[in-house]
Amino acid sequence: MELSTAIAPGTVQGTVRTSVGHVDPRIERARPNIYRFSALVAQLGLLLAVFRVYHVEQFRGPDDLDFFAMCCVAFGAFAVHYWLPFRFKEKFWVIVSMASAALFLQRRVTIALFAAGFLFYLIAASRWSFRKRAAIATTVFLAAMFSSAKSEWFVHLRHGLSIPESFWPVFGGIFMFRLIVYFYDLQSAKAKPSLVEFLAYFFILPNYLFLFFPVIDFKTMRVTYYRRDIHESAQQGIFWICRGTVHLLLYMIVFHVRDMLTLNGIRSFPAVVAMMFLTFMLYLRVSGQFHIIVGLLHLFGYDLPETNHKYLLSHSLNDFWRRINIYWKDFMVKIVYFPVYFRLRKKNDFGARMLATAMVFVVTWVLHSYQTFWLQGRFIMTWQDTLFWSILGSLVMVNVWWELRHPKRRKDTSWAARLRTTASIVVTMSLILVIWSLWSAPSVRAWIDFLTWWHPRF
Amino acid sequence: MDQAQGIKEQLRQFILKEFLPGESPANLTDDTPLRTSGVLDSMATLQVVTFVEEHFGIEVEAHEAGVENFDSLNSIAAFVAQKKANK
Repeated sequence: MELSTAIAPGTVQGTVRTSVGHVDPRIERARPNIYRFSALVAQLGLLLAVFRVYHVEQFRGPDDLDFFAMCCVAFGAFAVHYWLPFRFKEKFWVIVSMASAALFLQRRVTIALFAAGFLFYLIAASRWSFRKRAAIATTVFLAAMFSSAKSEWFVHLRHGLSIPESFWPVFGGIFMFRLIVYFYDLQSAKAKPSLVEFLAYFFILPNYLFLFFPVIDFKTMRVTYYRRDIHESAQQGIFWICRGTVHLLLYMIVFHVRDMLTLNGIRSFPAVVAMMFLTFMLYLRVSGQFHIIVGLLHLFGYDLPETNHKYLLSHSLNDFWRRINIYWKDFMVKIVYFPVYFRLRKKNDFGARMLATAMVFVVTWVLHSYQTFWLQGRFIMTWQDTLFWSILGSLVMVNVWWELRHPKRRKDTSWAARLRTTASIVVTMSLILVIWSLWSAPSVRAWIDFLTWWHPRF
Repeated sequence: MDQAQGIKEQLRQFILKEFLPGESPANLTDDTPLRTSGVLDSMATLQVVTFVEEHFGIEVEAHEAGVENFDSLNSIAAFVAQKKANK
């Protein structure tokens, strides 16, 4: 990535010059300005109008105003948060986020969620050794996982404890991955994170609505907190909210066109290609939501990185893996790739890279089923899933091997190079569309039937 | 030039040469985000880790190769200086 596109002007950390060595530079970055604040609020107001007029995220009908209400709460909270002294800002955001749980979730779900959160915090903040704390947290989490099972005994237990069924997906949506990241970072933390940092990491307002949530990195969240001037950070956030909104609007079009195509039947090669493309483009809902989630966090000073970066322009499979759901890739690098690679690199650097890459895809495959368990209540291990991750993982490994053998040395801006890049994008995306259609198919048989549209079927 | 500045200059030259060919050195400041802006991906970070280990005689562990220590020239230089001091 080029610096000019990677970093917008003025995004540089530590631009504040202060003669006093011990003053927190973030206080200066949070300094309010009425004119710039007005510009930000005006843009947020326009966004609310767009959400309302175009029924953004109103999939359950015209009365489904949860998303709109969540944005009203977040934007309203921004208007207050902006003017607060720096020391109160994060506490205020935590209070708003936690109070919003009561607004969007059932009361018993909220209480059970807070109880679980405080239990995990007590474990993490206790004076026991790290191993003991990690073991207890894992045991508690596994116990929760088993007790969410559908067997009769557990149903009675949950009924006895008054835990509603709707608690489990929310619990999973909040803790299933971030608890892993949190404990991984806790292992090497110089100081134990505070309660506010813990709550700010786990109880994030949009998470109650968007259970499929980007795996935010704890250290990145802390490192980027008020890393730059709030106006630049918030403006970046608004830009991402806008981009996410465009993704969600396009998703609605894709959804309807795909439905029409399905009704008309797939009876030609162009129809197959169109169906593959539209199926892949359903991902717009994920990228749209992720952009909005991280954009919202920017309004409150969390200058987090981009979640998806122009994935339709991927010029290799490795590049695709780096551009789509970047937070997942970073999560895998952190908990799988680096630990495996650093352990083995002295014996065989190339082998360590290959094994680490393979492990990333195996773990990704398993964790997708684990995620489905939490969000949908059942483990799903299908052949399509297995084939998709096996093919993608193998191709990325070949790509890694190629990149190691042919490192990119110089930026080539000739027409020939541009044509090569264009061809690479077309080939890469064609390959992605094919394997993505396999992943999305109800079965391998159905996928083969879909590809062989000329064969009569009954 | 003090030790930290020397580390940063060597890193700056390395990053410009390997990952930002053709980029003006003035655009890569001491605080420019590297990991969180996408300039360094996981593979590129490993190259920086190898460079740091070979040039400054330190050993980096898996949990140390994250954003905390490898997100800017400043953070890398501080990390290297700390590792050297702890040796």
